[in-house]
Amino acid sequence: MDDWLIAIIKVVCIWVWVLLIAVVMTWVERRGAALIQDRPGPNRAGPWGLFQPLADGIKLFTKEEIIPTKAQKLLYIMGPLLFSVPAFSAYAVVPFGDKIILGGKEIILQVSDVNIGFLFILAIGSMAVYGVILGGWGSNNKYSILGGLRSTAQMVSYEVPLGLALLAIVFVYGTFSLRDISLAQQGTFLGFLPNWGIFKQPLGFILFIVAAYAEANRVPFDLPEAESEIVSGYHTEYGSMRLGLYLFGEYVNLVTISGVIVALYFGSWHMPYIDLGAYLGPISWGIVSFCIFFLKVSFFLWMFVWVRWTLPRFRYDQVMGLGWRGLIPLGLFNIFITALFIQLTV
Amino acid sequence: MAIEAYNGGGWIATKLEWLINWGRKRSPWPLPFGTACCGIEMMCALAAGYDMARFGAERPSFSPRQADVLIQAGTINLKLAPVFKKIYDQMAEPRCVISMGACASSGGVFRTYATLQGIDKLVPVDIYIPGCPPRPEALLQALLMFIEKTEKSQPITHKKYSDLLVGT
Amino acid sequence: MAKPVVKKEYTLSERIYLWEILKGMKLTWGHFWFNFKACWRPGPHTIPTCWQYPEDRTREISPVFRGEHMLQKDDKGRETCIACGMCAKICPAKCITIKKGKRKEGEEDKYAAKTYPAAFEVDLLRCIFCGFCEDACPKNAIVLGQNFELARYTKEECILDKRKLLMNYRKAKEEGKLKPPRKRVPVVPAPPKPEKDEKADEGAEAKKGKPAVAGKAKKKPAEKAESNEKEE
Repeated sequence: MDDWLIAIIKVVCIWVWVLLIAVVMTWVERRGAALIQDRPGPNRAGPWGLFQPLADGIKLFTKEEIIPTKAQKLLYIMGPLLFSVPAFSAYAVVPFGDKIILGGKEIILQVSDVNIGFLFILAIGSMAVYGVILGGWGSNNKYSILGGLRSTAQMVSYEVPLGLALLAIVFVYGTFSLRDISLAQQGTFLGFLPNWGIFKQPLGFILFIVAAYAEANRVPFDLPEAESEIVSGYHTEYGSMRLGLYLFGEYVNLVTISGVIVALYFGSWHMPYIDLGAYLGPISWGIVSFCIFFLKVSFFLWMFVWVRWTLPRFRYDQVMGLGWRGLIPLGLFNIFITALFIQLTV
Repeated sequence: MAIEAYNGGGWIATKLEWLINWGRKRSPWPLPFGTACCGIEMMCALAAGYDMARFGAERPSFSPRQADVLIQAGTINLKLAPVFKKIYDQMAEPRCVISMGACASSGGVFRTYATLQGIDKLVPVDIYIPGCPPRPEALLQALLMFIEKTEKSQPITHKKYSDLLVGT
Repeated sequence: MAKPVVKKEYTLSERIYLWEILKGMKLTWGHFWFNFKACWRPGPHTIPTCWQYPEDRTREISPVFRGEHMLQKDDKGRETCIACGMCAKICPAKCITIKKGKRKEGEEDKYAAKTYPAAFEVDLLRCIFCGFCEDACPKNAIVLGQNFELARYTKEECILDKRKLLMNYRKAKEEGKLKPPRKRVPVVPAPPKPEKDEKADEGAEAKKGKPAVAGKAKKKPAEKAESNEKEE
């Protein structure tokens, strides 16, 4: 009974936390974009425009909801749901801190520690592709179809390099579970480098980050959502809160991907050289590990915004070329090199 | 009971109305329908010099379903008029039309057989901005007027809804 | 001479693109950091490149800016407009409507000349703010001022009648934003035409010297035929 209660509390906490981060991300995106572009950005809605996401949410809730007459109703309604729900559920296996000891019970700060860890994330992430394609098809609009198909092609083709980079991680750590990989990133290796994934798998890290940008439909791969820039690709026909779900689901996706990157490559909750777990008490270690993880995740979220306003958009053939002719051979090469290293050193 | 009948709503209705109006006025997503020279001034207002994103108009969307404010900047010819009307019809309520410049408000210099003499022949216009082209500050003033108008609107306690609100 | 186009192949680091991304990110970080620090400055004009209307009206407007119209009065407070209709005639958008009124006995201190406009309407929604009316006015009465905040809720508010035009003048005078009076370009007499000896050419020139009026264009080939015959 206690375990159920703890699990439910964790689920609710994580859900609220991810929602909050996504909401704050919209604000960070707007202010960050504005400051990079030499302009102030929203500054009316609250001090420094902090209530701008709230205003957007209220406005989207109170707008008229239109379902086009010739749209296929079921697909039209399922689209945004299939896009945002997997984004939330993929966070179930991402750790957000080490364990915390409350009332004699040791609680790991992760909703569920399945031993297929990031395979689960890959599988759930593939469901998001359905959300896009159903939204595009169900809208009965040629621009939506084009946007949806392009997005699908892009997301599907970049799942291969994602998987290849993750495969190399499995070679190195021998496990799929994100918690075990996070625990293994303690200490140093080669004497001075922290034991983080990025130092053991530099090429894998680059592959993973590029594929992650493509999976999240973020610039430079944001063809689907701002495709002709004239009409908005697969969410052209969506207004009101369905659009809100699409936009929101995108930010939640970002949070999940950042969480995975930090957990696999950046030493989830470990400080670089200091082993804080030995110094701090059980409760404060839980809180501190959570803060460290969150700091790293926010750095990557900021990176997403930063790169968005630095790079122009890739052309569609460049995107496909990069995915199939650039990243996949690199991924295979990475696996080969990793296997060779492990064979020679172990 | 008498006071509620006078202004159509009690405390909850008016506070909720204030919240809804606040949300709508702080986030007017424009549909920049720029057809001619006024479009350049509109781009100038959206860009870094006079930032329209300060008022929340950060996401100019070209899809009418997602936009609140249709900024008509430029001449509309008779050839484009049905397209324009279609785009206006596809917008979701509550919507607002800002007619920017002389050509949009009244046909401007072009009193010809091919130019639509003002978009108010097709759609109800909320704000007119004279000028050829109007300065970007004039467009920002129009946006501020839209914000004022939204503040005063009554989505819940308007007369046509107030008979549903007896007792709140 | 055309400039030769040098076609450079991409270097390896450019093709990999990662280094270029990092260089770009360094540039944007510089912008972000500068503007972030600038945001904390006092006053409405914080970021140097953004004029944050409506609090920040510090952008300089040129003194010859063509904004909202106004009807000027002279030093004694009399209206200078004589309702000649030059501005209405030259307006490309035909937005000015004038009704003439004659000055009566006791109105010497209201109107400067014998005629005055009983009704003077400028339709701001048609006006293209070219300034031709200002250039055409012989008495420097109608002038385009500095006001550009012209957005209104209804069409009727955008038609300026004489009362509003005079009020614009009064407001501009109070704020000190009047334009200095336009210097009249002095009329220089045309230089004398050079004299010629031959009579035939004089005759031809006398006929060619007639003003080119539109209705008489058909006669020109006839005149040229006549003068050709004469020369031959």
